[in-house]
Amino acid sequence: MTCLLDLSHELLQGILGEVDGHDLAALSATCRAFNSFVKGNRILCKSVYLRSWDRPAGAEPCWETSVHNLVALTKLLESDNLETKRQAFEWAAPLIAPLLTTKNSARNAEFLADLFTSQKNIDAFLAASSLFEHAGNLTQQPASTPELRQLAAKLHCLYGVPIDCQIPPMLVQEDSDDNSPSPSYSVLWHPESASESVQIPTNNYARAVVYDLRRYTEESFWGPFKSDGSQDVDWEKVEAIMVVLGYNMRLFNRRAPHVFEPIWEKPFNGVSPNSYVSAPPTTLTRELSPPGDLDMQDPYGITGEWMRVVCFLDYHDLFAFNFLHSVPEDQPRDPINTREAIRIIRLKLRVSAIEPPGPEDGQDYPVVSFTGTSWSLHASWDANANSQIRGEVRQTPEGEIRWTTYSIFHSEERWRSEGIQVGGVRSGRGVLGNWFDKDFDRHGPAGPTAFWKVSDYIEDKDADQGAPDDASLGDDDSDGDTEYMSD
Amino acid sequence: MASTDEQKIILVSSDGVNIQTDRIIAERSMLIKNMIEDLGTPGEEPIPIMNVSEAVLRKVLEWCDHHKKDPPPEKDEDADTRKKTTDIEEWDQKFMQVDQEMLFEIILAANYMDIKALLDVGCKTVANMIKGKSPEEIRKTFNIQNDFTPEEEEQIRRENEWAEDR
Repeated sequence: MTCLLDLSHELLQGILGEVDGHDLAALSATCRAFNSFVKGNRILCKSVYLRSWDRPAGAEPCWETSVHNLVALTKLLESDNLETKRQAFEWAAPLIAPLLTTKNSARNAEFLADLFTSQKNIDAFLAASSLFEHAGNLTQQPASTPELRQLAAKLHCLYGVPIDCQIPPMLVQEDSDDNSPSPSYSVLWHPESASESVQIPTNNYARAVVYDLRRYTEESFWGPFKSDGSQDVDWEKVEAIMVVLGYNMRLFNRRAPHVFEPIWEKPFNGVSPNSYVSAPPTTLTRELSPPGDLDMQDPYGITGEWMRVVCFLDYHDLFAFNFLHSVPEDQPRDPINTREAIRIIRLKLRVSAIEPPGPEDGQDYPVVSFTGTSWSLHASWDANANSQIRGEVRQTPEGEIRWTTYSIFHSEERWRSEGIQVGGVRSGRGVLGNWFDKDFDRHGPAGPTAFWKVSDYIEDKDADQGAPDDASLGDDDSDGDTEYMSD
Repeated sequence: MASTDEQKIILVSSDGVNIQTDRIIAERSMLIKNMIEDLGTPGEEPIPIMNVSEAVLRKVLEWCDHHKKDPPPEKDEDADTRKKTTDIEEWDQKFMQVDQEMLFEIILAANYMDIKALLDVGCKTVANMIKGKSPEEIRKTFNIQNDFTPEEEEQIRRENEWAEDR
């Protein structure tokens, strides 16, 4: 009688290539024949891996180790034990980010999004940067070393939905007119009184990071980089930017839900290279600019329309926050819940030049310059958002995609921004960074900004037609916030 | 001459039984398709299928009959985009509800006769009999003898810690 083990090597390979990763362990424990068949079987491990996960970027990995790692990661994320997860952070967390840097990471993103519906996984892996020393709930604790806290911040950025108890995601709050802070707000200044059920709003602590002018340094290029001149990304800065902007956008979205499509609401969305896909041009687009030669050569996909969000503190608040109390150099400033202003801006960008990378840049991609226009979706009195813009995109030595922009008013450059594209080249997620005075004024102003692509096609209409009527924006922060922005 | 669709051909099983079938059904097998093309005189000469007994051949032809209108398989399907194991269509699942001996015979025949889609269904069916089972359950299912020493078992348990629940 024919039995399983009588089948040829080739057929066994075909059959066992259809099982799941953890079944390989069970098979190898059945008998000697299966044990020797499974162990070290590179081709088998490869087909088992590729059945469940997307092909990793770069050179062929050791497939056997890869399967073992991801099965172990799955088991860990499926576990119900928070302490087990926390203790495993050091080996497990580094496995997650590379799953998303593959050319096509749709299956991996789905795999992670499924597992990260668990609050325990969110608490253990995504809410473990320095931000969560005070923010969040009691089960959200910072990881043990600075490197691991950086990694946790990066995972939070890749997850892409700001973890903040104070304001729920936009999509579930479509027509809420409830603008009031959640009840936990009142305990902000008394973290020691927090009980397990109390959550401290993350945005208060993130705000204290993004508006702390001490963090805008020459060595960090005034952007979300480490303060060592390396251009390496400081993921805790990016995380704080995401949390603050996410909070403000959600708040804005409650007041004016139709101004822009909600973003940053779907876990692990748009964080692999080339994940941005433009919708086809609308019929309303009267004239399409055909892609030029430069556009064809631009690896970053710059030409097109982008949405930008900029937040800022009233200058008096910014000044008081930074200069009225002195805080030891190595300590963060106290959390603040001061209301900020938000601007939603539409950009039309076009590639203007492509040059080889300089010695300070990453060498895989050129330096691409662009020019364009930006106009505010707010009232026309806001002169600041209606301007010219120029900038450059380059790769950092670390391999991240760095964007520098300059806002030009009446042919004079005024603001500059530095940011990195989360998810890499042509990612859908967009660019997160800091804006500041182009002359690097130590007294500010400065704040967080982000932009993300909304179309590969540029609509040929005048900027002033783009501004909807003021009322629809529900702009309740217009008093006093333009003091330094409109001089 | 009849159109290809209606042409009859005769296959001969390994135990010497002639089975008449439609050419279109038999040509789900690349082996038969190639033989017919090589012979150039379809229907005139019986085609010997050396390794497949009558019972198995009839079963395989039953599958081919059901799937005779399937579109031709896509060339070199990218391994990255292959369907997940659980995707076996309902008719095929019922078709594969046979005893293990027959199941393996179908796999061997599909392999020999070069019917890729049937081979796939066969492999997935066996894989589904393995998935989610403990070593002991797999042994029982496939009548496998545990030939490890207690020391070896202990070592394998340690080697397989990566797959344990946490």
